[in-house]
Amino acid sequence: MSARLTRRGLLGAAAGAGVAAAAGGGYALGSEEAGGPPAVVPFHGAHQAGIATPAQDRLHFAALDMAGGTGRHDLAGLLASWSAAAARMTAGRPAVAARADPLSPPGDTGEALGLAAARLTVTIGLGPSLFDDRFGLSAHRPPALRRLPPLPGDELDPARSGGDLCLQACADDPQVAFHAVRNLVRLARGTAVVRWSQLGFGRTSSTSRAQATPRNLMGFKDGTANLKAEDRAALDEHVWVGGDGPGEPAWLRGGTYLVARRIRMLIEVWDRATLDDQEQTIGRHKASGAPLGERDEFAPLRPDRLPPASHVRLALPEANGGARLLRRGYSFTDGLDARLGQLDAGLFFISFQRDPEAFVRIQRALGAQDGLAEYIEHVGSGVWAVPPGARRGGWVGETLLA
Amino acid sequence: MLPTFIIALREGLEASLIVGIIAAFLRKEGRPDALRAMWAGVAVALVLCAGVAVALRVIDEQLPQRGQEGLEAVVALVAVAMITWMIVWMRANAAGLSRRLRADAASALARGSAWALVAMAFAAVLREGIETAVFLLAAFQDAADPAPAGIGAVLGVVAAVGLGFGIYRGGVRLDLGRFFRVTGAVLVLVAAGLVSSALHSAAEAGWIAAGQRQALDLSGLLAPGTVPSALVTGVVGVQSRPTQIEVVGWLLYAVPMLLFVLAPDRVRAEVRAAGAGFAVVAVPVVLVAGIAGTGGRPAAGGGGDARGDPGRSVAVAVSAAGCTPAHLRLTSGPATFVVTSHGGARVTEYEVMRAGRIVGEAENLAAGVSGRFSLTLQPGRYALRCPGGATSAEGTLDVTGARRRAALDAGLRHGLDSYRGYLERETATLVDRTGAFVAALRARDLARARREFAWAREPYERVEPVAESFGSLDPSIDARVNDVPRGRWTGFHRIERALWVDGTTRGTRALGDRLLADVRRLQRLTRTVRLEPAQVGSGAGALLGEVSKSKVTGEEDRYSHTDLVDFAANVAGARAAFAAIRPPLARRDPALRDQIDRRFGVVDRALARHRRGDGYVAYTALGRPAVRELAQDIDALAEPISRAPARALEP
Repeated sequence: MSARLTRRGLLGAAAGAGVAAAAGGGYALGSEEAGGPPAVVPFHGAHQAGIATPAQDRLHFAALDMAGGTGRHDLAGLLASWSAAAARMTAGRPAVAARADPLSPPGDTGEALGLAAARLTVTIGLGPSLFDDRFGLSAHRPPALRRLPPLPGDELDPARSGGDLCLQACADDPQVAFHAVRNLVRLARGTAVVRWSQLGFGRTSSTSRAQATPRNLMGFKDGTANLKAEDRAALDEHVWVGGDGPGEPAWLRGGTYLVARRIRMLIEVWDRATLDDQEQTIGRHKASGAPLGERDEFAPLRPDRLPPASHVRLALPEANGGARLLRRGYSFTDGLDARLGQLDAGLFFISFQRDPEAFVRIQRALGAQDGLAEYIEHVGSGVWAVPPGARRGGWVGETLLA
Repeated sequence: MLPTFIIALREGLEASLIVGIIAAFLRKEGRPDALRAMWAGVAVALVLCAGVAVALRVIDEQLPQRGQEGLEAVVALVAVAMITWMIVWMRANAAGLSRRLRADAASALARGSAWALVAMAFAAVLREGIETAVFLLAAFQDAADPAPAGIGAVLGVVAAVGLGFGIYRGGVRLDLGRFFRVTGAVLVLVAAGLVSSALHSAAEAGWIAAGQRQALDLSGLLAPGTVPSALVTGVVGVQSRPTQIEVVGWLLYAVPMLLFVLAPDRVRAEVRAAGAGFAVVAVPVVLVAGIAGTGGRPAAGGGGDARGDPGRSVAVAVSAAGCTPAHLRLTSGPATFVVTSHGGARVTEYEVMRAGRIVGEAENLAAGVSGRFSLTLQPGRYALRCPGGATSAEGTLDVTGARRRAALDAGLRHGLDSYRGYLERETATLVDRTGAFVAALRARDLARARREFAWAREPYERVEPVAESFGSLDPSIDARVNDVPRGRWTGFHRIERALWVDGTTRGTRALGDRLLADVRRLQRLTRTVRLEPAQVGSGAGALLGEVSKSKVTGEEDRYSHTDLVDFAANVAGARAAFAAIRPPLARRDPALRDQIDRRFGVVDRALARHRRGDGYVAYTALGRPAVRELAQDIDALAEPISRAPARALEP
């Protein structure tokens, strides 16, 4: 009798302990997630991540060219292995699954081991130069995908412009973002070479209403009137390629276009402008971010209240035939401009739009009349088609190449 | 240094003892003519030994490993026979010497025994000298740096002669009978050690595989590498871990012979003679028994079996407990492990590790699914690992016996032989071209020296990792200005600076002589370097790393700007090294081999664009895009090459 009781008691105690442990464990796990955005952004989906994703703090951007002698098969293989590695890295795992073998080079370079996924996203783009006869893609080039025309304010360096492919890695941890591009470039060794690359610190846009508007290196809030992830209808209209508009190929449906501009700020000149000059140039109050004459940052913009040459007014959709961009840029600095002994810093501007023409139209207006043009110069440029997202087991670019 | 000292001391001491005994005897007998003849005989013997040493060296180079061991075994046995005869002769005559000397010794001597003694001295020195030559051969081959080894040998001989002299100076006044008895006992120990060595060498030659289990472990008493251990091993011939047959042979010889030597004269001569006879017969009997016990055929797969014989099968298992059995004892040589699973889903892997590296494994084991892998076991301890096992997730494998050369497959063996030929050709070319370069320096011909500079470097850059493996040789030949402390800068680049920056050959004479001596030494050392497949394969990657580090940046030849010649040479060397592992890679991963071949082609074409005449344009003539292209092409080639050795050499 007593033995049975003891056994039952034990069983009961064990069950109780198990339930308590499960509850405690679940609570512990759950509480990790609560209180902040989830640390892992899924790689797979209808759209590539890193576009509507709330902007992370750090950027590593690279433009690559396919190596000589490569063909369509190499390109497809590269995109497939990139997709597989990106899916692993964005989940917080090493780029390549490999057992530590002392006689082989390590599969993953290792500097992100032990670091959390940090909301890493990897976004892959295909440049206009890819659609020549090397890979048999010339018939599939979207008419909208062309090298950007010369624009007012351009001082473009060809070595910092263009590229057959682009990689955008964003994360909250700079080491994670760096590690992602480094490992993808390593996977591409011999198939594609890096043309140029850019590190970005500090986001200069909000892409979600949940984010506070950051400041760019001019000290102004940047991204107040940006397209936000929550504006689904607006995103469908202005960002995602529908595949049904004129000249929109079916393989790009669910994708978009990425425009990148390396905009150097003439920091020394800007810093000696008066506060009034600065605010008139931008069109917002510096401290609050509110439009001139308003008090609230998110007060609607009224063109008649803004100086004609102010940046914000010239960029208004109404002034540009309704053109709207999803801006997702980052501040950068690359040390010193050795020629002049001046800071080489500014905004690495990135925007996503359904048609690069939207960007061209806005930049034409800005470049011609924008007061800001006195303080900046565009030194790098590129445009890429961003294919739709990969489904599980698939890869980015499959819709075009498979 | 110690091994050669001990060898020279031991062999020299034996010879000195014998010569000293005989010299003392002859002197005591007042036979200066015989004494002079004896010294002459010794001198002749020494000369003959030198000749034999040279001949042995030539033969040794021609023989494969097993043949060398066989030669050692034969020499050791011959030495045992001679010493035994010496001891027996001495013992038989020791007691009688004192009496006979006082009696009609002089007439006996005059009749001819003195000449027998002279002949004996001659034979002793000859024999010891030949043994020394054979043993020193091996010692020099193993030595990383010949200078200390050579010094050790000389010191050993000097000490031996001094000791022998000292002993027998004293010996002149000694009671010869007792003296011979004591020295006889010492010689018995020496001869017993030779018996043991002979059996050891016979085992390494593959004649004997029986009785190879370790009988004793004296390493606690004789820690290898310490002076007592070296002395005992060197003089008395006892290894720290003798095998059964070595111990049996030692005892069967030493015990009866010691009895023979040390037994008082009271013991009947017949008994004593029987003891000596027993010992003398025992040794060949043990040897024959050892060979017969092996089944009359050489030990399976030992030393360089080109068929890649997998050797014996070792059946092991994994179970819920882990590795089963947890502790294994095996003899060295090739082995194929067949791993079965006794059920249980927890343990699915069986790994054999050495020094933290996995050298063999079987994975995905399940009930009914077995795995197998082959490796060549070397003496020592391995670790076994069966992750997930309850009680024996870790185990041990002790391997006894002689070191075995890994059973290489035929393709790999051929590849390594070809690469060795490549190394020998390139180092010979290096010596020739450096000679031409140095001749131009000596002739103070600046223009010719400048022309010869890059050409002399080309063969060096093709084999640079091999040079680096010898330690101080690469800095002496190839250091750039910031690589070494000021005042110690020698070699090609030091001369380069004189030729291009100072515009003169002045002051380069000593540097040129030293450079020539260094490359000659490199050529000699390269002949003896051991080539392992993994090391050769990774040498290809090392050569491409050289390009990335200093040739593509123009840092290597910063005065003459002939970096592209070095660049092309590094790539050519990488190609030759890769060729050694290309056949096994072709079997295991043809896609990787193809990729490497293609990318070699890309690099070749990129370099060819910068040819000029039979050389290349100066580095400074390359534009930035060209430099960038070369750098990226080298990266593209080096990446798959870095993966090739592991893939090619997977078990």
